[in-house]
Amino acid sequence: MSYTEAVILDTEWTTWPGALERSWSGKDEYREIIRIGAIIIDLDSLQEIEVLDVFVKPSINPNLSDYCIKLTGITDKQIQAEGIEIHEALHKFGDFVGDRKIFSYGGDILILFENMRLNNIVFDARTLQSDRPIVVNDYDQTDSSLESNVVEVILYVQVTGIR
Amino acid sequence: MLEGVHVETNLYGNCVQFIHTDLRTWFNTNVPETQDKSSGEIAKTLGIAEPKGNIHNPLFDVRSVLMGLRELVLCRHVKNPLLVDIK
Repeated sequence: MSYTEAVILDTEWTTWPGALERSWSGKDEYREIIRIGAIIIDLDSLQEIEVLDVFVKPSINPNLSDYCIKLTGITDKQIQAEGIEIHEALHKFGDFVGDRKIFSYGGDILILFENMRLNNIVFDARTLQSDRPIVVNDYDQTDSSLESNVVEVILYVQVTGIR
Repeated sequence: MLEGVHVETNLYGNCVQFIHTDLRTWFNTNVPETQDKSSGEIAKTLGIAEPKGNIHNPLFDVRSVLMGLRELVLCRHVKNPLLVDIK
């Protein structure tokens, strides 16, 4: 584990008018990742060292809503031209992260869970503090209860599933 | 002496491992005004210069978080949450 560098992660995902308020519980609403942004930083100086910017093709709702386009500035054209499958994006992200810890503001790791579930990617997740498994089968995408409890999460993703 | 077979399992041998920490609580504790704000609003909420670009561009958002970290750790001398050891 690297103790000199870390990764800060942020994701953008598909959305519709009112989706936030109803926690993406509308028909066929899923928080599919459409862009992953991450930077590697030096832990002492807090200076940016390296950047990752990846567009991802949503598999269930391949066309972005007008609301999503306006909110994120991401267009269908960009997704079609530059987007890659979530499996490949996770692989790129894994290569980028290496042995560094990941930090984010908010529940981006939960978005990864959701997207791995949606795309049948094998993984196991547990909390570091108590080594408590996160029973992802019980995690409904509309249930945000984990977000307030999970601070540190260790996530294992089957390499064979993301290549 | 008991006899037996020592078995080592390597459940995660073929896995990519991610260790993730959510910084929201740390920001919210040190700067209560960040509650209910998104990642891209951190710098603005702290009253510091914002990165170039637009909110909901993930690189803008991570840089907003980084600028918030810099402000709190380097200027206001809050303990760096990224250096807190986790087992």
